[in-house]
Amino acid sequence: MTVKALRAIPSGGKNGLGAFILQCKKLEFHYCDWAGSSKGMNGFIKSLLPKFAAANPQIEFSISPRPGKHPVVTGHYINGRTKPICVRNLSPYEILEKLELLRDASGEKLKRTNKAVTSTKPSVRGIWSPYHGKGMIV
Amino acid sequence: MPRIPRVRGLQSLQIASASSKTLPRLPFSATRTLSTTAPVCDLRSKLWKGPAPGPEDPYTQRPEPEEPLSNLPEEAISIPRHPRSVAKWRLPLPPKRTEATTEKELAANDPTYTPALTIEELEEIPPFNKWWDQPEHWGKESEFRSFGKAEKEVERTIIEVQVRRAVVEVLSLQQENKLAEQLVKKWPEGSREALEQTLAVEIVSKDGQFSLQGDVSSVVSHLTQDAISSSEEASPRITLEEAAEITKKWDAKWKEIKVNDETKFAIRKRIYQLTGNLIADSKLGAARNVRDVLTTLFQQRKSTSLADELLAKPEVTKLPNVRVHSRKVGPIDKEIEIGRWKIIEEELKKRDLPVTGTDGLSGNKEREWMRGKM
Repeated sequence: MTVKALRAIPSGGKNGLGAFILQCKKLEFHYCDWAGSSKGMNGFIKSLLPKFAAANPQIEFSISPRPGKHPVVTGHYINGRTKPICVRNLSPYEILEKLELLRDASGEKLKRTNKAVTSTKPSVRGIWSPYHGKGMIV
Repeated sequence: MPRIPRVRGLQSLQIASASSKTLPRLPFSATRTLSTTAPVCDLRSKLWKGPAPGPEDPYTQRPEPEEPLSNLPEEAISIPRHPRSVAKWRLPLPPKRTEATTEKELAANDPTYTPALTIEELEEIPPFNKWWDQPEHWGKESEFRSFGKAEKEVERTIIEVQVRRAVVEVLSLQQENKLAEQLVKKWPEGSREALEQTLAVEIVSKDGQFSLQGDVSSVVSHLTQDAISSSEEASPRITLEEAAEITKKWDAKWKEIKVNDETKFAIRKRIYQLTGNLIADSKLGAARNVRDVLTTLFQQRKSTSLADELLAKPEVTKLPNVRVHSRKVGPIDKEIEIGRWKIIEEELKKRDLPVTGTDGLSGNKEREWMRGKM
């Protein structure tokens, strides 16, 4: 059973906060038992991953070897996209940072935001500004 | 009928060779009726000043064929060309090329002969280049017999017992001044009786000096007997309980025995033979006493894979959201997980397509043509 986004916001929800669902549904870990570039990854899986997995029970974790390849962490998101990150030669704590990035990501493609507010339904009149129109005197 | 007139049909090689054997070909000069001896001799006396070299009549008298000259000394020439191992081997070599008898000849020899009518009835003979691929062309002598034990011993107590045995054997050989002589030889693995006798010998320390107490001569006699004759008997196996019982008998003092290069080599060789554990040169070089040798042997355990380590950890296996795979998760595994593989397999079989792999077919040729490759 895969995690899906909510179709409607529940009645008790306030500004979507009540219906918050983590966008990352699965994290895949690939490592190599032999290669040196997987050294940090193997250490991370052994020492830090159990704690991270226990702290994030809503994410599915899958750990599988991939011999002869660099270590990779792939995030799967509920919008159907994936985000793979190569973690070769990284230390366990650097990998943890990458993992936090993957966990908190929305799964959307990265976009440049040059507006203060982004909305799915932008106002026709635009955002009110005190400096335009009659406005108030500052 | 032959195409070219006055040329007979092709004879089979066998008949041709048989006829040539029955009638040995005479030299051309012998078949001639006219003798040319007299005019040749005259001509030669005119051509040469003094006596002419070679035989008197070079046309009828053939000189003895001279052996090819060689710069090698006589001893080198007398040495057989193939090494003894090659000359002695009993491997069946491929037969020389022969020509099959024709149908007509076979029918003449064997009246019961009936020619094959379908291709299945014909005998299938594998090609020449696949001769060594067939297992029946390899004998028992070609099987690899390793010096070391095939299965590596991993139990610490058993290794300790074997090290003790090796140390006692080396020390007893040293005591009898036979170590240098026996160092390069293969020692017999020994029977159960020999093992018990060896372990019964005690190592006594006195002021830092170690000496053996017990039947040393019998240990030496077991080692010095011919290894080949006693190789048939398998080395005695020690169970874990037995090893634990045996190790209780001695204290840890014997591990302080100093080892030099010679004893180190002998102990290492013997341990490799008995347990299959080979100590690396770098590790052995650093060893000063038997304890160091034992430590390196105990550290030689094969590193377990990360998956095995994780599966042994309860804090990982208890988590409901973590799955640890011990091998690579491939595309088929992913399909199996969502239950689609059964359907894919059925549909592939229905269309007579290979379920896994490409069935020896090449890739997409058209794509390469599109890209301008040939």
